[in-house]
Amino acid sequence: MSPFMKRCLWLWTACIAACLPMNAKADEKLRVVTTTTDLAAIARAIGGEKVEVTSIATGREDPHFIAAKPSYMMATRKADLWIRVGLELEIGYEELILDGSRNAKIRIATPGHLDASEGVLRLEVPTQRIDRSMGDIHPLGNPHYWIDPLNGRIVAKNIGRRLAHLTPENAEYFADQTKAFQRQLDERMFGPELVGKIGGGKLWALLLKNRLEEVIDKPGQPPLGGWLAAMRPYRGRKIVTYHRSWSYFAHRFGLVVAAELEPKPGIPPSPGHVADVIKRVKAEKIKVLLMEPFYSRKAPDLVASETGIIVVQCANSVRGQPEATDYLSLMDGIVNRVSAALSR
Amino acid sequence: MERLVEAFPLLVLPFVACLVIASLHCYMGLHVIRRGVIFVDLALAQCAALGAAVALIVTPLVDSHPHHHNGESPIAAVSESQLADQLSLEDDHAPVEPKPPAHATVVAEHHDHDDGTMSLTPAMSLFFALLGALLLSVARLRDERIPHEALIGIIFVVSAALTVLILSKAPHGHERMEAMLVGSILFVSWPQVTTMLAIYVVLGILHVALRRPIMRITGGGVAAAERAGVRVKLWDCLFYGSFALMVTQSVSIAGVFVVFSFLIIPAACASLFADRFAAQLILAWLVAVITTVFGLVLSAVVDVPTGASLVACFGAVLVAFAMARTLARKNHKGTS
Repeated sequence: MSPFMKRCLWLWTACIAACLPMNAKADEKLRVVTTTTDLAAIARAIGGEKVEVTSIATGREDPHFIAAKPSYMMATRKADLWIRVGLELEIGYEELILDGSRNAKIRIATPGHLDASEGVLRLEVPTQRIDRSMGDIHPLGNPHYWIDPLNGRIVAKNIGRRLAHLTPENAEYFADQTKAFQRQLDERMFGPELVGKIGGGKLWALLLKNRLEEVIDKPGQPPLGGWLAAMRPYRGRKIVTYHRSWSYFAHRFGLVVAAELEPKPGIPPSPGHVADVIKRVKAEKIKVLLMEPFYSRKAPDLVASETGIIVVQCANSVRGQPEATDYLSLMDGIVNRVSAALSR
Repeated sequence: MERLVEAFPLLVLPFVACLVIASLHCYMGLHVIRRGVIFVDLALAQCAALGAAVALIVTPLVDSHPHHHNGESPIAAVSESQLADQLSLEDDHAPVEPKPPAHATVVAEHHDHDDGTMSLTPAMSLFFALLGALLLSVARLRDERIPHEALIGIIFVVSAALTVLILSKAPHGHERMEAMLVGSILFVSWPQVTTMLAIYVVLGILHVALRRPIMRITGGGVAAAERAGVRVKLWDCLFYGSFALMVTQSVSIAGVFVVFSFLIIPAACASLFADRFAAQLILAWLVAVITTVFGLVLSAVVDVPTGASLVACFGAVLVAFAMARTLARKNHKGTS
């Protein structure tokens, strides 16, 4: 046997040895499968070492559509908990995967099936009859709710509770993890000093009641920091988006979505509609067009060449861009990109 | 290997579906190759896709949501002020108060979201495919100034263009179209397979019973059959009609690409090595079954979409057969 081959053999043995204990440990962990990477990121943050999380989507595709691969069903076959975004985002494939998994533990309306949208703030819930001619309207409200940090917080709470319900012996651990995650999120939202002095929950309550100024403008109060401070100067500014997927972000940080490039949600830009958008951008001097990287740049580039609008390609899912490795860095990335473009 | 064992239970149903598809498609494929109307499958499948698109656009979304008619949604929406009240209390208390999960109250209702569409889609696809079949058999020109293949091409492009037009008005139309092309044989369900099997058994019996006149047109050409007193238009109507019925079933399960491969490639392989129809049919079935196994295994081991993996395997098998054929010929020449 040559020395090289010997070395290879050693390496191989070492690899196997390294894998064995990991496999053994993995069996004790709660197996969580989520539809999107954002849910996976939050579930990882809350579940820590007690869970093993897989996501069906990779974060780089349109979450409305997923092509069937055998691994999806294999992942779900042994899952203890399935988490979906809900509000009908996954309506195209969820049932197929759940049926295909033949796993009774994660059927809809069982403890192994969590709809992360329980109790989140929902926007654009239709109040009249809807039909397909209106585009991809979701009867339960706009499903892109996770890019409101408030909803990220609620999703974390939902996941923490469900994990605790499934493994009561770890309930305390999951509660602590949830608290820690929420604290981190609050600090990124309002700045650590302010959270330390006033408390995250109170700050959110003040923000939702539009009374944040009353408190932070008081003399002696630590300055506002975080995402809110970064976005504060641009309140009331108008933006254009590609799909109706930025409503929650705009709502939270006080931006106004003046137009969407899709004439109706899910329907690709048509010439007439793009012309209307161009007119509107010129008339209202809109500076920023926000789009996900998986949409075609053709229509946005056309609008940019006509009006000089800045096209910001920004993932709204974890792993949609290299720096978006978890929920907080995803929000960091969005705030940085959008505020940088608006400041120009 | 471990992966394959793990995936095995998931691949049983797709395998059965492939067998059912192969049973009739290999047979029809031999007819289609002998008649030289290769793209009739794509044309009729595209007609079926057009029908599905039409069904999508004419089905109102509300029908599948009877409980949303008044704009009420099953989960009570939370308002910002309610959330604010909850949040202001949070810092004082422990945030995660143990409470039984509310999964029972969570929407179990929108299970059958596509029910409205589902009921209309097969009917519409079949209707449009039959329309295409009728066009193919009736519009056959006597003097063949325009070849039949041209007509097939025209039906294909026009129905494809109409599908694009319609889907441009439907939400996520582009993705839906891609889904129709690639299909999702991995997600096939037992009722789908049994329905397809029932229809194929009926079609199979029909074709065995009426094999003589159909074979005559396939074997000797239209002119010869007409001279022999076969009513070509009528039999063509039946042939293309049954073809349309077969294709609407398989395309809705496996997608256009996979169905085309099942139709043409085993038949082409068989034509390379056998001359008699019966021998070709048996060889085609064998090729289809073996390739299906390869395709499914590849899909499981490498974890790639199953439909595309099947088509790739069919392509590889055809190349192998063609090479074997060339080698066999060379050897034959060498020895004689």
